[in-house]
Amino acid sequence: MLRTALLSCVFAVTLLGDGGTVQLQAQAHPFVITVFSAETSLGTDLSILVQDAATLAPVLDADVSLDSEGHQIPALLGRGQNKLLYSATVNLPSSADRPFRVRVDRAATHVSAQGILHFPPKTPETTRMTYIAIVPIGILLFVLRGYLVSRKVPRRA
Amino acid sequence: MNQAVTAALSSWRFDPPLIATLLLTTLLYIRGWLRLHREMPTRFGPWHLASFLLGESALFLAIASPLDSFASFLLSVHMVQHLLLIAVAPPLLWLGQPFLPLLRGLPRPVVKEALSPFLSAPELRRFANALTHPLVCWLAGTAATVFWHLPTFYELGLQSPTWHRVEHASFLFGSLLFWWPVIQVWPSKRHTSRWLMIPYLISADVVNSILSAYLVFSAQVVYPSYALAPRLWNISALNDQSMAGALMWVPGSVVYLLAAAIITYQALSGKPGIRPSTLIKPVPQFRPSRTATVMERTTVLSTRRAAQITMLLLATLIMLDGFRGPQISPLNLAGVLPWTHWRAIAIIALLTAGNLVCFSCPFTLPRDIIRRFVPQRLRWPPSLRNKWIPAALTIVFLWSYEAFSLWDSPWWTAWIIASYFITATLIDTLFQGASFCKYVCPIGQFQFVNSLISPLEVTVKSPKVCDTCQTHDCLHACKLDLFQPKKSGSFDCTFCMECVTACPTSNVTIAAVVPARPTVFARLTNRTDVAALALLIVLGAFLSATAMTNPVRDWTSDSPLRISLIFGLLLVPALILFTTPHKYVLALVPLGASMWTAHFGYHLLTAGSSLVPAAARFLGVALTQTSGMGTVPDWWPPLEILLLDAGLLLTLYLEWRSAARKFRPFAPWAFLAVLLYAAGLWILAQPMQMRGMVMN
Repeated sequence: MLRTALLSCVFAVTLLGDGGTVQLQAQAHPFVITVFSAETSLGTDLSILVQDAATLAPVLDADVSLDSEGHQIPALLGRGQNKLLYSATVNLPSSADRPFRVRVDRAATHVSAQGILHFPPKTPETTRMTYIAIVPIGILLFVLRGYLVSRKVPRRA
Repeated sequence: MNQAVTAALSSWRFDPPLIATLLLTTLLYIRGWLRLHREMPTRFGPWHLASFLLGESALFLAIASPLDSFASFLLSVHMVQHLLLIAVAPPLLWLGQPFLPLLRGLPRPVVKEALSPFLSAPELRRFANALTHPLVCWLAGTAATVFWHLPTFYELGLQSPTWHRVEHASFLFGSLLFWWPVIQVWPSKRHTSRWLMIPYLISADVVNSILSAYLVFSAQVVYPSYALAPRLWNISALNDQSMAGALMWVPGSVVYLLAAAIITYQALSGKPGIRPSTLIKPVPQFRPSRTATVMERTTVLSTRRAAQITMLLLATLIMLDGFRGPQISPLNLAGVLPWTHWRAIAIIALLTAGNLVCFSCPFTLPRDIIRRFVPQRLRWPPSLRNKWIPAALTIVFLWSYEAFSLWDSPWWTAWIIASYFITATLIDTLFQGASFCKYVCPIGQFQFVNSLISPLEVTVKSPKVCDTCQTHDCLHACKLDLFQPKKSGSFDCTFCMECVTACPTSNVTIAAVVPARPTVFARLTNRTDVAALALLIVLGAFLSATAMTNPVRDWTSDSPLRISLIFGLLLVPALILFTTPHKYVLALVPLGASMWTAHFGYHLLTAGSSLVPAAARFLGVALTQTSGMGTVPDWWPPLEILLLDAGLLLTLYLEWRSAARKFRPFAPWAFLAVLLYAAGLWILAQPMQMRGMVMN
C-alpha cells in the first residue's frame, strides 16, 4: 500500500539522488512530491520528483515551480542528468533555513506542498581542491623522474 | 514505450572529462594495437581489441548511463552499476592486454622522456611485483567489496558525492588488482601455479555469496537511505533489496565460476606458451603511390578553399547584420558569432589540432583573387619586419574591447571585420608575400604564439629527402618565407598548405607532434618583439578575464579611465622584457593559452545557444521559447581548473628547461607562474558577467 502517505515533511534526510539531499517528501493528493537539493559550484540545485500517488509512477507533464520568499522559480524537466526530475538552480546563502512552497499544476489539478529548505554550513569544497592538487602531484612526479634519471647517469670520478 | 521509461532511459550523464578520458585511452589503444597487430598478429588479435573496447564500454555504462542516475533510488540498479565495475569492466580491460598497445599508442618522446624512468626503476618494479602478488590482489578485491557493502560505509557513499566517487574508484582499482593474476596480463610476472587461481576465484565467490545472501534474506532494509528514497513504480525497498542481492549473487558468481572453469580447461589441455619472437612478422614499408599524393594535394587545397569560402559567407552575413540589424548584441549575428562562438572554437581548435583559423581565414581570399590580376612589386619595409605593429594593435584591441564594450556593439563588430578585409587586401595587393599575416594581423599573431603548443604541425616526413633537394620549392611557395627543413613549430605558419602542394617529392605533410617542445621555444628566444607579443597575449588572457568578473565590473562601471588603469598593466611587459632573458617570457605561453580557453569556453557554454534566437531573427523565423541560456554545466568548473593545471605544469616545465635545470634562475619565474595561476583560480571562482545572452 501507499507508504508515502505516512511521510510528510521529512526534512534534511541525507540521500544522494540526482538532485542530492532530500529536503521534503510530502503527499499532496493526487501527487507525492519529493524535493532534493544539492550544492554545486554554481549555486544550489533543487530537483523535484512528482509521482502519481496511486501508482508511484513519475509524472512528467506537470508545470512545477518553487516559491521562496516571494520569488517564483520555474522548475524545468530534463535539465539535469535524471530526466524524471524537474530542476531549478537558485543562489542561496549558506547555513540558511528558508520556507518554500512547491506548486504542481497539471490540467485542472493544482496542488502545493510546503516545507523549509535547510542548508547546513558549507564544507570546504573538496572537488576544487582535488583538481588543484594535481599541480603538486605533477611537480612531485617530475622531481621523482628527475631523481630516477640522474641516478642512471654514471658519476664522474 | 511508456513516457517515464523513455525519460529514465535517456537519463545519461554528459560528462566531457570522462568522455574525453575514455576516448583518448581508446584512441591510444587502437593506435598502439594497429602497430602491434602488424608485428604480432596472434598476440594482439581482433579479440584483444574487442575485449578492451567492451571493457571501456562497460566502464562508461557504469559511470555515465541511467544506472548512475537511478543508483540512489533503487539498490538493485546500484548493484548492477557495482557489478559492472567489479566483475565486468576489469577482466575485459585486462583481456585486451592493454599495456603494450597503450605504450605504443603514445608518442615516442612521451614514453621515452616521461614514462621510461618510472618503468625501468627497480624500486617501482619491486613495488609493482609486490602489489600484483595473488594474496595482495585477492585481499584488495574482496576487501573493497566487503568494506563498501557494510551499511555504515555504503551510507557514507550515498550521502557524499566525494565518498561515492572514492567507493567506485576502490571497486574499480581493487577489482583490476583482483583480476590481474587471473588474466595474467602480458608482460606480467607469474607468481604462482595456475591451479592456485581456482581456490582464488572460488574463495572470492564465497565472500560474494555471503554478502548477497545477507541482502536477499534480510527481513529489514539494510541501507536506511533506500527506506526513505522515493519508491519508483511502487517497488518496495525490501523487494528492491532482495533483487539487488540476487543480482550480486547469480551474475557475480557466474563470472567467478566461469573464469575458474576456463582456467581449469586451459590447465588440463596443457597448451604450450606462445613465444613472441616467432610471431613477429616483417612489416612492409608504406610507400604512397603517385595517385595518392595527387589526391592528397587536391583534397588539402579544396578543403582549405571550402573552409575559406564558408568563413567568407559567414563574415558577409555578420557584416550585413551588424550594419543593418538591430543593435542588440544577443539578437544580432555580429554580437553572437564572432565573440561567443568563433573565438572559443578557434582556441579549442588550436590546442586540440592546429592553426585552423589561419587555414580557413576569409580575409586572404580576396587577396588571392586580386593577385591573379595585379602583380605585387613592393617588398615590406625591413624596419617593419617584426611583431611590434601587431603587438601595438593587440594592446589597442584589448583596451578598446573593454572600454567600448565591442562585444555589445554589432555595428562596431561589423566595422572591425570590414576594416580587416580592406586592410588585408590593400597591404597584400601592394606588398609581396603574406605581409599582412606576418607583420600586421593581431589575430594571426595570437594564433602563432599559441600554436607553439599545438599538437599538429606542417612538417617534413623525412629530413633525409630534404637533404637531397636542390630546388627548395617549399620555400619559394611559402608566402611567409618559411623553409620546411629548417622550420620547427608552427610559429608564423598559417597552415596555407602551399608547401604541401609545392613539394615535388610529397615530403611535406601535417603531422602529430609533441606539443610545447622546448626546442621550438628555444628558436625564438633572441626575438624581443616575439617575447613582447607573447607576454601581451599571456597577460591579456588574465586581464581580459578579470574584466569580466563582477567585482571588477562593478569597480570599472564601464569607465574607460578605470579600464585603462587595469589595462595599463599591459605595460608591465616593457619592464620585464628589458631586464630578463626572453626565453623565460615565452615559457608563460601555455598558462596564457589555458586561461584564454577557460575564458572563451565559459562564454561558449553560457551563451552558445544564443545563436538560435539571433539566427532565427536574421532568417525571420519566429521562436516560441529560448531556454537553457546562462547555465553552466557542473562539469565545466572542474575542467577550467584542469586547463589551468595543465597550463601551469607545462609552463613550469618550460621554465625549468629554460633555466637549464638550475633552481636559482627558475625560482622567480616559477613564482610568477604560480601567481598567475592563483589569479586565474580567483578569476574563475568569481561570479561572471553573462555576455551576449538573451535572458528569456
